[in-house]
Amino acid sequence: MSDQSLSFTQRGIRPVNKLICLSILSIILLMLDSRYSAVQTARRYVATALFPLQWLANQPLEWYEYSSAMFQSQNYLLKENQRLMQENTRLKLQAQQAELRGKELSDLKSLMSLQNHGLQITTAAEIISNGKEPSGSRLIINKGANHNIRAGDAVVDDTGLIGQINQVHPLSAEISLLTDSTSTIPVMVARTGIRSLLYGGSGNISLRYFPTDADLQPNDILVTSGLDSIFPAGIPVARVIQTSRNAGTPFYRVQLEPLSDSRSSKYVLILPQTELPNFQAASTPMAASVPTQP
Amino acid sequence: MNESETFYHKIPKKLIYISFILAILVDFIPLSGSLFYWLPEFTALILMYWAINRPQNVGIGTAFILGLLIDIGIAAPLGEHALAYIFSLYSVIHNRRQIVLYNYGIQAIVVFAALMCSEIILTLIRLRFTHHFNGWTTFLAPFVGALLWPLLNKIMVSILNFYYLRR
Repeated sequence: MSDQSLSFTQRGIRPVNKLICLSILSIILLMLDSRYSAVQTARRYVATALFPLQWLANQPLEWYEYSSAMFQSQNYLLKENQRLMQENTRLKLQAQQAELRGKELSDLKSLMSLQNHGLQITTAAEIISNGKEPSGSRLIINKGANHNIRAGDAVVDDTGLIGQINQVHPLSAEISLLTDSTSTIPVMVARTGIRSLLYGGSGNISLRYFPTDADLQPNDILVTSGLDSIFPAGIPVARVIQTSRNAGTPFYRVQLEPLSDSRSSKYVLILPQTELPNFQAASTPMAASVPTQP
Repeated sequence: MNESETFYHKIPKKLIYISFILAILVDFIPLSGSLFYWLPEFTALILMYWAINRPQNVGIGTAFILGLLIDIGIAAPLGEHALAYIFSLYSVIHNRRQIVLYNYGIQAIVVFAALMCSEIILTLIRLRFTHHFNGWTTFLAPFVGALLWPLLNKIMVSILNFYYLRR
């Protein structure tokens, strides 16, 4: 074995030059990432190759959950089962009622020749990585393009909207959360039906342009308004914590809290986006409004 | 050439690859909650270990490639960890001949400085991309990494010794 490192005369590229070249390269990659499709394609291949490793890394947690479930007392399980049965009955009843109402609504809408927005078939997926990013604005799930997931699909858990599919790899996909600085979601106040846009950024969400002449109170729930092809209407998004009027601006200053806790949720549902009509360019997935039929 | 150098020369490259794969695996484990603020990046630690003890195989190029793999694996902006790793590893490689002579205590301080450098670069890049400072808890990881350094060395030496004696 040759002994290059221990000789005092250095061969090859000097570390300083290597450092400069590679740091320029990584800065270029930082700039090009998510802007240049060749980088995305390369990323997709590597992500597919890395998937077994991610799957393996997720196994210790799976075992932990499995073993902790094994050692739970029979009593607890019975109680839990009973609770779930009750909840299931209640939800079934509600679903039937909702179906009835939906049917009535769709009859009315077809009378008025309006568009129908039914619930689509959803795909369940498991979060296999929350990344080591402390901001945690990206998650990785174990379903991808092979499971008919497309970039831009909405992602929800049992409490509300989590985010949107950002990048799709063959076996996995990346979710960008509500709090990601690129996310914009059309929402409405569930109580009054007033629509606005919800912006993510700086690890939080904000309602920037909500006019003060409209009514907004603490504990109001914001739901998706359905005025786009991405998010179906009526998914809970956030709760209003505090509102204040500022002199000088016509908008409220609002403090919001996301309803879903993306850190703790383990399983998510992916809602496929509705097909855009042909004349609508699909270039802006966020907040692309669906035109009403003539 | 002293004995420690021959010792490290006899190590098969396979072992280096396996250690990197294991480190990446540990870094990919999706730990929830506040625990992951505390855990240092094991890939960075293993990189430094090999850069100090096996510089003819592990250098800045390796750090760059591993950084890219980590970026893709945890869905970070591409190049973020690569940039952080090459700078922290450069500072280690540059002073390698001195670092080898130190005892574990002083080595741990050097490792702390390098990990801190990497953490600062990561924080700056995140600040640039998300416009959001994640608080000072992220800077705990370098402390833990430095504390783990002697332990990591002991474990690696015992594994390598096992291989060395079996040959």
